[in-house]
Amino acid sequence: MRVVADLSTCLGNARCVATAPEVFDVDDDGVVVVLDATPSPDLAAKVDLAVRSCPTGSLSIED
Amino acid sequence: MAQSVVLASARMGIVDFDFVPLRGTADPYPIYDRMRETGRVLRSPFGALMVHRYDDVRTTHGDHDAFSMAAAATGDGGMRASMGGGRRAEGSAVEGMQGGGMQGDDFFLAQTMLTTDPPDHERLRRVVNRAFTPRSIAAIESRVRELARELLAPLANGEPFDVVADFAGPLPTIVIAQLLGVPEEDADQFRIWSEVVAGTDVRGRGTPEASRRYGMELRQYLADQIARRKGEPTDDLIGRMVEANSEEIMSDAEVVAACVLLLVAGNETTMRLISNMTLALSRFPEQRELLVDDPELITPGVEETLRYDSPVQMLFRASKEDTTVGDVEIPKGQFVLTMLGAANRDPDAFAHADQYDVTREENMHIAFGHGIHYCLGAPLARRETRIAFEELLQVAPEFEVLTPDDALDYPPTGMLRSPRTLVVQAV
Repeated sequence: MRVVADLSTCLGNARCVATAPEVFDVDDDGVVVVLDATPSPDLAAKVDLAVRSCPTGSLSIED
Repeated sequence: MAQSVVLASARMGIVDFDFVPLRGTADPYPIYDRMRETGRVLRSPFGALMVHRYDDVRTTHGDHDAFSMAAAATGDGGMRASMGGGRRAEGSAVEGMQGGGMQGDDFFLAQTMLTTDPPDHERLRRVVNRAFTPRSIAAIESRVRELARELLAPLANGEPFDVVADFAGPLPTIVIAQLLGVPEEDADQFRIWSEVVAGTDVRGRGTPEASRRYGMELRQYLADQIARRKGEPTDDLIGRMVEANSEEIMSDAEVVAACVLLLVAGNETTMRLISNMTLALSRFPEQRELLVDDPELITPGVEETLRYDSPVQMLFRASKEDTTVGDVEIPKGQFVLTMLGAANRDPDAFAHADQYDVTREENMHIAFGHGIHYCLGAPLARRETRIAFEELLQVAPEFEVLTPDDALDYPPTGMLRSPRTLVVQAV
């Protein structure tokens, strides 16, 4: 599992930070930072929810 | 057989529906049920189309090229024709979108991110985004808590307490003033301006005339605050916006308009969210007990309130091109009302959709919208409301509502929803 963020569409809504703070943060420019691009499998459900929750569809998972 | 034929054809096209969305009702939910039974895309008697399914609202918000915010705000793209040439219809869309308080013409003197499409939208949102980060909002946690405690003192003392006027309204109004960096000595004046301008003046102090004057005074004040910060940077919302705008991506008028938007879009909606949650917890005491026993559930409880009784029941878009919603063709130039309140009760999207359940998992409600216009203030609203109930349920783990159901007085526009008054008392 590899987490990919599209910085060109991210608007810093931080739903991912609320859902999976181990994996995502939003920086002082108001844009997502992927803290852990290859999170451990026990975080998979949270990461999946974070991806689906993103209002701008800026997150994806590559296998 | 005959019935299934009717249903099939109803699904194919736009179906007339006898509901005027801007004429409010105390209980819109049975109307939303009727919408689901009637068809996928409906036309209201005042001309606007309505989409109500969760997936359709989400898709519509996600496709900002076809379903434009700018066109809805300005009436571009042949909308006047489709609305019967109505300035009036256009005005009501604008009025509804901003939740009352300010007149459309003033509001649109300078553009904001709310009413623009890309590329203007990015330009106007980026600067505010840099100032309004999750970190900057997290920093005010203890101040919000302190303020909530102060406001809740009469409830703690066992007095009858109007949650709307004495708690839900003042809390976001005072918090945003502090976030913006309004100096202490101006706080009272600023609060009066923003109550009247931003729709939290529930006691009705502001006449329409005062509202216009306060709007002008508020803008002038914000312009002065912006000018002051250009020489000396400050670590507050206005200061950080000025800093983020050092390359003058936005005009000063646009920065002022962005500040006013934070008040207009944030204060009244948060007030309504806190009010609706108080009401829901009074109606479902077993849910309230769950939150008292396990305050960790307040966070999902806030989400459930957003879903179950959304402060913003509908948002406008306008079709900028010929497009479709599912199998229904939507011509260019139509006002499209996206019914958030209905989508959040869509049984195809939520199990036991009509039930208030603070333990609901994966609550992907659409109360804050979706796509590029997703509510910028959502992290602040969520935090304020969580803290509000952490504190309220501490001082009044059990409370009763003294306001009779028929005196809750829902707003005349069905756009925004919550009681105008809600007097409670600790038991």
